[in-house]
Amino acid sequence: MNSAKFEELEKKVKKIKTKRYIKVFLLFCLLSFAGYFMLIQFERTKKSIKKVEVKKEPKKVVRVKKEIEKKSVKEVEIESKVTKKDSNLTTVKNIEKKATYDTIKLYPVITIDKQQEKKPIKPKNEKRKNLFVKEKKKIDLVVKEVKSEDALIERFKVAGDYESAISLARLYFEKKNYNRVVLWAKKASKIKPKEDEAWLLFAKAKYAMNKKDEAIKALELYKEYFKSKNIERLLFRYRSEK
Amino acid sequence: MRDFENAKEIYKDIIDTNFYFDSTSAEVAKTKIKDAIKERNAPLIFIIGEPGVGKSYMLKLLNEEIKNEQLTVFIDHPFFDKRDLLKLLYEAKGLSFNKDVNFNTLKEELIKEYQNTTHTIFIDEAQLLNEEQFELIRILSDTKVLQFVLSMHEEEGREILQKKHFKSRTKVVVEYGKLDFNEVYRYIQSSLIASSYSEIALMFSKKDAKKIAKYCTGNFRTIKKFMYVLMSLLDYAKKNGLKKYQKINSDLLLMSALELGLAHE
Repeated sequence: MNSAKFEELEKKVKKIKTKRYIKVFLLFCLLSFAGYFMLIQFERTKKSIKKVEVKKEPKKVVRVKKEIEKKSVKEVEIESKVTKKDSNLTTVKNIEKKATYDTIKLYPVITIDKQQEKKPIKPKNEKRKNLFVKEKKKIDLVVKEVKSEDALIERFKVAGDYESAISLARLYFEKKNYNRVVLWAKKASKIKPKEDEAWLLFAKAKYAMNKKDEAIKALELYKEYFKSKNIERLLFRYRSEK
Repeated sequence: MRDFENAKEIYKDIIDTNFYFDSTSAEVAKTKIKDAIKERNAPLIFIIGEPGVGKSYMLKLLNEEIKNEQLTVFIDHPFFDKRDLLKLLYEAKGLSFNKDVNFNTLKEELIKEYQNTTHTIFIDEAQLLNEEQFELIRILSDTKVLQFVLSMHEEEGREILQKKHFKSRTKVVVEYGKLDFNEVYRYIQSSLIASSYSEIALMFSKKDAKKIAKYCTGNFRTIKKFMYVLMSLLDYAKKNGLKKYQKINSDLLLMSALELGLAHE
């Protein structure tokens, strides 16, 4: 071992050590920054979850217009889920109930013919009495919009779910904001590619924007992978119109 | 007085069978091979392991230990023609080798001569043998007259064991492993103390041994080289009055590793 060799090795060691210190320092800085960033993100997420939770509570008020022959129309508020509404409506007479819904934003006015009801919940005797009474009951459901556009967007940011995306697409379609429909329909279709509604909305929006070829293309693409009568019908219509 | 200059001589890359380090791998290999030689139940014994783990050392050690009890032939450079192996075996038995005689005749005569005696042939670096030489070893081992102990590098050794010559043959395979950091520590201590350098041995802590084991990946030969360089550095520091380098520290270990190419900038 000579002095030149020893000094050379000594220099190399010093270089390596300096590099190591820099690496450790950089790693420390990186970790600190990452930790701080994560903390901020966590706080933000916490706040946004709280907001969504608060917005979830006041749900929907369903007004039911019930028309009974020779009787005045009365507004009834029903507290029930939409799936149960048919059976409940028959039993509800001037009873006020409150409705709670999680996600659905817009509902059309629904007219339910009493004759279409499968199993009216009524006592047998009463049913017999009514056999000779020809009465036509019409119930109109008017679902009011309770959630704002922002709330749905916020919810999508947190949950990233299909329901929020498709609801937004529906909302924008109603508002004729077709560019936004395309955006949200795309997002919805990414989450649930099999669901045809997103594709239908997308195609309709494109069609409305006078981009008929793109609309047809999208419907054809869906048809290649999945079966949907709605898609086929719309595709047939667009093709024939073209 | 710490005599680093002489202490480094212990770690020169030479095989000294007078100092045997009883690592776990070495002990297992030694016992297995000795039993196989004693019982003569397998005509083929293979030692496989990475280069530098101590296979050649073990082969030499076994040869030294059993050569007084039976006839042994030690071949440390297997670049021989198949006739050369027969020649070596003839000479080991004290017979004259006539190169003009037909190979098969030579072989049959050799087997006759070796019949009813115990003998073992050690071949180091056997992974360098060619197909023809392996076939000859197989033929000779099939006669049950000659017993072969072959040391091979791990990667090539495993491939050779799968060859038709050996795949279906009765054999003993001994795998030679690396040293863990405790064994490295024990090796440093015992090698220095055995040569009366206990003062230097005391300079090494378990932590130092762990670092050395890490740099050398537990390879016996590399550890020896590392120790040689380390002793040289200590010797230089002592002679030049460099106080910082007169005891084992991480800088000194890193310098040794850099010198051997075990660490890079």
